[in-house]
Order: sequence, then C-alpha cells, then structure tokens
Amino acid sequence: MSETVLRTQGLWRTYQQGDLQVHALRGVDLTIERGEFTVLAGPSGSGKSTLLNQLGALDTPTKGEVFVGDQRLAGMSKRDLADLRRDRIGFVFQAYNLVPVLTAFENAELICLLQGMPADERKRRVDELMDKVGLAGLGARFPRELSGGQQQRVAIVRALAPRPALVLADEPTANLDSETATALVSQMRALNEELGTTFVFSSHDAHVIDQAKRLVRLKDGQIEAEA
Amino acid sequence: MTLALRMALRNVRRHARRSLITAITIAGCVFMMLLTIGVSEGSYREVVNTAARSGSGHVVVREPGADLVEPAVLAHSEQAMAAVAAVDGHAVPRLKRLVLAQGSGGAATVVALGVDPEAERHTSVLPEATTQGSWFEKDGRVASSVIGGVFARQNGLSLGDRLVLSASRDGQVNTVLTRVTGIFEVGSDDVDANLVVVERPVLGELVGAEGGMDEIAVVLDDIDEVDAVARKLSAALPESEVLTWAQAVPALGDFVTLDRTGANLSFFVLFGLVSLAILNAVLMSVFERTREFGVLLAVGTRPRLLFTVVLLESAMLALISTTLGAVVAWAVVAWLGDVGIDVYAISGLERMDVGGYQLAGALYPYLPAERTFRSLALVPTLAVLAALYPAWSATRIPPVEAMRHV
Ligand SMILES: Nc1ncnc2c1ncn2[C@@H]1O[C@H](COP(=O)(O)OP(=O)(O)OP(=O)(O)O)[C@@H](O)[C@H]1O
Ligand SMILES: [Mg+2]
Repeated sequence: MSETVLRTQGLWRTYQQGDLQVHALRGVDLTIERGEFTVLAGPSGSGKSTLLNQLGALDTPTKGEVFVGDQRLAGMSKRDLADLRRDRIGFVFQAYNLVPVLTAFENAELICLLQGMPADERKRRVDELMDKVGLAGLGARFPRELSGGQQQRVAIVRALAPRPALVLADEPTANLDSETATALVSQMRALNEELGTTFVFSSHDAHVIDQAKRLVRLKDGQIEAEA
Repeated sequence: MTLALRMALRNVRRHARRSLITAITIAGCVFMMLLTIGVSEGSYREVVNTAARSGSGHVVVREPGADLVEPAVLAHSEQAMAAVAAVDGHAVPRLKRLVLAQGSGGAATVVALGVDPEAERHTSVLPEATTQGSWFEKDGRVASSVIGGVFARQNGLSLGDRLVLSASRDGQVNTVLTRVTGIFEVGSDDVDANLVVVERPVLGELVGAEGGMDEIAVVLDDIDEVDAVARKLSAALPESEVLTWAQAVPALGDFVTLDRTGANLSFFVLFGLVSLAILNAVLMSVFERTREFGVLLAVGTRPRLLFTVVLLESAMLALISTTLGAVVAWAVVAWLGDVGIDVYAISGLERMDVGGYQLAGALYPYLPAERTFRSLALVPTLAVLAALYPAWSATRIPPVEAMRHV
C-alpha cells in the first residue's frame, strides 16, 4: 500500500533575465511515495535546485501545481506556507544550515521548539537521533566547533526530529569530502530504513547516487530518465 | 528564556566588538546628556534659590490679584502661616509697598520691604548679603533701614545717613525717618537698586497696615518640591493666591523653560544621530545574516520571530549602554555636586548671569529624577525605532535567494 507524500503536475519555472527567459523547469510531473529514498541527479543547471525549491514550498511555479500530501500549495498565504514547511517538511541545505549562536542541541531541537513541543519530548527525540548519527556528547558545542560533516548531521537531526513526512536536501554532501559524504548518505539511508522517513535530495556525487533507491535524472528542466 | 531573547542576547555577545563600539557611542552620548542636564539644573537651582531668597520665596501666598500697584493685606494670614508650617516650608511674612525714599542726595521710588529680621536670617539672601553695617541691630531711638548697594551709590548714601520714607496713609502723606544701618549687595541690579528694607511694624505704621502682611514668602529646602507644595497650599488656602517662583518671576521661569527646551531639542538631534549609527549597525548585522535568516525562514520560522530578535538586539544594546552611561554620569554628577564647580575659576569671567541673576560662586550639579528619567527613556525608544526598518527587512528576505548568498 503506497501513500503519496508529494506530487507535481506540469510544473514550469521560468526566470526572467533581462530580455531573456530561462526555463529552469519545463513541465515536470513527479510523484513521491512514502518511504522513498530518491536522488535527483543531472548536470549543473539542469534544474535540481529549482525543483527542490518548488517541492519545499520555497518558491512559486510559473505554471503547474505542487501538492504536499493532498494539500494544494497554490493560493496559500506566506504564513501558511511557513507553517506547512515547519510541520511537514524537513530541510537540509548544502552548507551553513545552522544558527551560529545556538549550540548543536539547540539547533537540533529548533523546529520542535517552533512547533511548541514540550522540552522533555524535544530532548528525548534529539538525544535519540544524535546518538544514531554519532553526535552523542556534542550537543553543547557551537556550530563553529564542529566539522562540516558533523554540522550536516546536526542539520539532519534538526530536519528529522519533528518526524516530518518528507526530508528535502539540496546537495547535502557537496561541501564534504567523498568519504564523509558516503558516510552521511548511508546514515540517511539507515534512518530511511529504520524510521520510514521519505528522503528526496539532489547530488552530483557518483558514490551518493549509487546509494539511491530511486534515481531521477533531470536535463534542461525535464525528467530525462528514471531508474 | 524564550528563543528570541536567547538568540538576541547571544548575537549581541557574539559580535562583541561591534556591540561595544555601538554601546560606547550610546553610553558617551547618554553621559554627555546627563552631565549637561546636571550642570544646567544645578545652575537653575542656584539662581532660583537666589531669586527665591532675594524675592518672594519659592512659593508665595498673597491676596488674589494683589501686587505692588494695588497692594492688599493678606486676609487669612494666621491660617496661611499654619498651612506653610504644615508643608515644612519656612514662612517669611512681609509687607511690600512702593514708597518714596528721600536721602540727602536725592529721592526715588523704591520697593519697601517690611520684614521680621529673625525670620529672614536663614531664609533670605539679604542678611548675609549685608556687607556693610549689619542686619537690624536693636539700638533704640530711630528706625533702621537696610538698603541696596546700587541705590546707596546712586543716592550718595552711606551708613548712618538719614533716609526718609513717605507713603500715603488714609489719603494723606505719611512719613517715617530711618537711619541706614546696613547696605547689601545681592548681585541683582534689580534688587540692589530698588529695595529698601525696614522692620515690618515700621512699614505697617507708614502705610496703615499695622500687624498685617502682604505676602508670605515660602522658602523650601528642596526646589524639586515647589510644584507639590504649591498644589497643597492652594488646596489648603482657597481664598488666597498661591504662586510658584516661576509664576511670580515669569522672566526667570520662562528662561528656565526655554533653556530646558533648547537642551532637550539638542538631545533629540544628538540622539537622532545616534539612531542613525544604530540603524547602520543593525542593518549591517541583518545583511550579514541574510543566509542565516534565509535558512530560518525556509525551515518554517515565522517572520515575526526574526523581527523580534532584531528589535531585541537593538533594545538590549541600548539598555545596556544607557545604564552604563547613566551610572557613570550619575557618579560624576554626584561627585561634582559634592565638591562644586567653581565657574568663575574655570571661565575666568568676572560675572556670570543665568536668567538675569548672578551666579553666586560655585555651582552644584544635580540630576532631578523626573527630567533625568524622561530623557533616559528617549534612548531605548529611539534605538527600537531605528531598528524597525532593519527588523522588517529581515522578515522580507526571500529564502530561495538567501540560500544562494553565502
Ligand atoms: N534566481 C535565478 N535567476 C535566474 N536564473 C536562475 C535563477 N535560479 C536558477 N536559474 C537558472 O535556472 C537553471 C536551473 O538552475 P538550478 O540552480 O536549478 O540548477 P541545478 O541543477 O541546481 O545546478 P547545480 O548543479 O549547479 O546546482 C539554470 O540555468 C540557472 O541559471
Ligand atoms: Mg543546485
């Protein structure tokens, strides 16, 4: 039995650059089912980031529709979109994910805190995930006292702690060496298996792409191939 | 502690150097503002006390509408004396009439003050300003008069000379012979040229007001109590007129008001400039955090949280530095208020007037609570106002673009 967590329909995103129109997405139809571990691949400029921004309700399409669960994003207010991101989607960005003045633990519990979750529950969830990703005992450190890989793992804990339906990550490993990158992705994969969290992320890295359960290749703003 | 407060506090600490520079700017301006207030309030206090002690006190009680041209003896004087005692004021009863003073060198219309010499001794500047002769020593046959130095010079009078005072009594000219036994120099030409002081019974007999008083000058120990005392006395004495020094000597009252307003205006300009400095610092710090704020907005933080964080940062900076500036200023003003500032030694001037009254000597700065707090409240208010725009712009950061900004 499958459950659709995300769906796009004829999605177009056109940027206006002076007189030039850049079609970053040209009619993307994509459906993400619960429990997927999907990688978006494709050359630079193929539209991976643009698509992830659309999926994450961070940007509005020029044409077409995005549905998160059965919620249609078009027409929602900015504040409702913010609440939807907070409550349904986890985000991990390429780098500089964390708030520098908050400790690893405080960063990790941030979304739960914004959701109004009680402190003991936040602590329980964050501690458990920190353990799982190998950050036990590092909660009191500030981001600048952590390595790049550790920072990305804090970002993953932050994204997962609220138990979102979906985690979106735009090149989460791009700033890491390939060994650290591979380790990070296998951790994400383990969380995907264990908790059933749906992951959609983009990558250039062949080692990362290898670990995908589903691979979606983009080219010139269109889905080129699926594997 | 809320998230916003925690983030704001740590951001202020994290950018310690920038925070410090902003804080020192604000604290320095606060210090200058309070020092200015302290010195000018100290000088007002000096001259207001001089005016009060050489004129009609800090507060004066008299018959409604009575003045020198149409004098009237205070009707409920005993009740008024009791009311003044009840508010801890020193009551100085006086008769005050226009009379013709005639010496060997000429005649002039002067203000004759009929006093109780002992009541004046600790509340009026006249006794201690009497540098030649003495303040009413009992010696018998002829009534004593104590006159201003300028008047004495203009009329060629010196100690021991005769001075005849004339006034009308019951439609007829009445006169009294006095002998000059003292000459005072208050430092105000107005007083020194126009005032002749005699004992109250002497003037009472001359003008037909035996046993009466035209006014009660109320001298207070603390000039910040003036308004409160005036209110209490008006309430207690509905049939008399109660005026503060500022109403009784409007020229000086207006001068002080104008001077305060001018200073407040210049503080406003000063802190307008400080606000620009704050605006710049906060705007810079928001711009530096474009990516951080973008990430926060992307993960679902409500814009309002960022708005609050930025405002709190600015408010904290302002509060800390205002407190710092105020504490240092308070200490310095307290010390100066103790040792005094010798304005003549510092300026090298021979005479300094404030609102038409000469500063006697040293100046004792002090900070009156109300004006001080009102001025201080201005600083955090302006700081928060200055941070409104940067705070608003933090909420307008589009997350997608912020993410491309490293
Ligand atoms: N804000 C923008 N304004 C104008 N053009 C843009 C903007 N963002 C993206 N584009 C264009 O849209 C196309 C897709 O960009 P996108 O960033 O989605 O590619 P990508 O697949 O993520 O590339 P990369 O692998 O380099 O991150 C590119 O041609 C890019 O130049
Ligand atoms: Mg990209």
